[in-house]
Amino acid sequence: MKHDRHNAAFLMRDGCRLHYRHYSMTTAQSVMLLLPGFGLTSEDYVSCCQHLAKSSAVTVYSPDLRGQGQSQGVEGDVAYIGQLQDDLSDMIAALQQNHPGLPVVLAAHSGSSSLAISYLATRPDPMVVALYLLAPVFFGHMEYDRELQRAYPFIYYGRYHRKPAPHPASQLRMNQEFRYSLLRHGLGRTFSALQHIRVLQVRRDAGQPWRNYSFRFLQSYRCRDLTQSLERIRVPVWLMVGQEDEVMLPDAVFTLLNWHLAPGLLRESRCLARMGHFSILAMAATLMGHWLRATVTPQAGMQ
Amino acid sequence: MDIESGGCGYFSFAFPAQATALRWADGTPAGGIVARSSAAENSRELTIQWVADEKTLTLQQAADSRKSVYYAADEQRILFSTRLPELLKMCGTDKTRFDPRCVADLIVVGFVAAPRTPYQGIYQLAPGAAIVWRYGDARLEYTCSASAAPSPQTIGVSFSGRAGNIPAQPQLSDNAMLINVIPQLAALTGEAHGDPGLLRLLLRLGRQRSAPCHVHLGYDLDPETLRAATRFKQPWIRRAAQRSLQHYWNEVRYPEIAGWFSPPETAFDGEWIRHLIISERQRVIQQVATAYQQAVNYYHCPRIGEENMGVKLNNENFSSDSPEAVNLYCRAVQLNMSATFINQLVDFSPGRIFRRNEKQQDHRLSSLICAMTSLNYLERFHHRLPQ
Repeated sequence: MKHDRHNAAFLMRDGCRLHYRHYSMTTAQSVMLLLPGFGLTSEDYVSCCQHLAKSSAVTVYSPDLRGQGQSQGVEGDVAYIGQLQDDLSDMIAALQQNHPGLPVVLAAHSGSSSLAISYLATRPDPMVVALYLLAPVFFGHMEYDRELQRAYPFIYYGRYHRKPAPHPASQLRMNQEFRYSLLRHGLGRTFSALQHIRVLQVRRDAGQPWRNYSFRFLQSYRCRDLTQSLERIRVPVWLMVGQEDEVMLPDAVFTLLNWHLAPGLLRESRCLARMGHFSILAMAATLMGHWLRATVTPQAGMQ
Repeated sequence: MDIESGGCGYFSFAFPAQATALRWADGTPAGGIVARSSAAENSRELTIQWVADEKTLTLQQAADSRKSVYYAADEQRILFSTRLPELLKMCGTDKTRFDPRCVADLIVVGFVAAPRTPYQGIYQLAPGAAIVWRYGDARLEYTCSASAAPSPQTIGVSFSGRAGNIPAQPQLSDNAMLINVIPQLAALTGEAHGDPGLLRLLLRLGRQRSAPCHVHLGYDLDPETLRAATRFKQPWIRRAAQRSLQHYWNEVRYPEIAGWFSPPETAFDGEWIRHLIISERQRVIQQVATAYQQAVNYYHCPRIGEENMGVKLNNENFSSDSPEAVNLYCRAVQLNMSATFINQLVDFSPGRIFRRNEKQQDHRLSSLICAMTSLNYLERFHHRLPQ
């Protein structure tokens, strides 16, 4: 078994170079494109990818999204809404060029799930044979977030005349801080000339600098009509969530996929006990190895 | 799954080569029958007879049959199948339309009883019934030879065998799991079911190990609450809809079901509805067991270690104030995100109900939500159901 790691770049249609890490196997039976979570880079997935490439017959590509990590581009901004989908389709085309005939598996962690779902719903590709979702998060759809009750305290109070008790799941603390400006969101939505303005600021903790994201970046990143996109998906979907996820509610995500994916598409849904949003990556390599074997074996049989 | 399907007359659908060909009197092909299980077993439950000279096709189902047979017929052709998605595919899914009045059935018994289905123009063959189709005649000759009422009363069912094809169920709250079994059951049968008992049974089967389990079929069915008159009086259905649905049930559905199920007129209304639900549960359990490769055995006297279908998993219930996935779906239905026709008939008005009744535990509401959501699921996905 030969295992090596390269750093290289995909060339996008606008000339921008997106950096990726590459974990290869000589006898690979499939290619996996692992999209990083929101604000994360390929560096955060190194150990997961190494483990996966060692244990399974797969070549893993772990890219940085535009403007993130070592990729070129303005940080937290895109040139137009839909550019991230274009990037994704260029990346998949490059994979098919590098590995002709091998099936491509799309894996997405955290916020990139929205990007992967909207991509597969709008541009179905015959070479993409499966979608793996690791702890998916859906931007702009609050019902799948952990802290569900916080948004509606006044409505709850008006109806029941008592304060809402915090849901035990929402007690988990996160260091990350988010600032989303509804005013700037409204401006970006109303005036197309203002789509470049910053609407979201994120920092990992109080010691870190704020990172900015523009309106059009977030609009490219999120899935606009989530339920309808899920209904249009044609590839099998495999899901893993951590029971103690800090960001989203496993019950709600599982129910969403169960109801809005066509019958028979949700092949496996795992709820891992004592796993969180990031610690799930420790288990992900092992589990994705099992999934790959189940995905690729029928593919090989068909060929 | 042993699917038997076929058709006769003039249509664009082509039968596979292994089908038994039917021919007109002059030898030209008239249709075919596809059987995917042993012939001996089929002949016992379903009889198909084609007379080329008279251009007639007879379908007859045995009185004790637990197989479902669906058919669609017009002057030119008749199509039938033991699996509804298969028949929809043969008819052309784009022409399939839901029958909005099936809501009445879902409210009273929790499923659509033979001879109708949730789809317009597609019918079911009741146990013990026979139809004769003649080419050129849009009307079918319908005869019902025997009563299908369960004579030696079946109490329960035993499952044995390893849980082979049952999808793995993750460790989530019971309430979320119960709502997640609805699409499973809808995809498995191709029909809408609003029976929480069946859903709980499906959950139970997912946890089954190799030891056999015995399940009581009618424990949760109280004849007093099953009376048709009280079933329609639900505060979350608009009064006008209540009246029209009840009228449809009394005038159309009751005589139709009485024809094959023969409820004794003297018997109390709730009592025979209970029998009807139990016999439907047997039919669905048969389909589930076939799909999940389980051996099924019906028994007539109580067993030790018997479980109830209606037993609650825990104290949770459908409620409107806990931030659970289930309630998102309750709200989706309330807020008219669900499609088209349901809203014309039934008014889930949040203002009226969920302030007054939110703390009450009501099984009629939960079964109605199960039925509506599974109908909604079928409406979105009937063209993509597994064959």
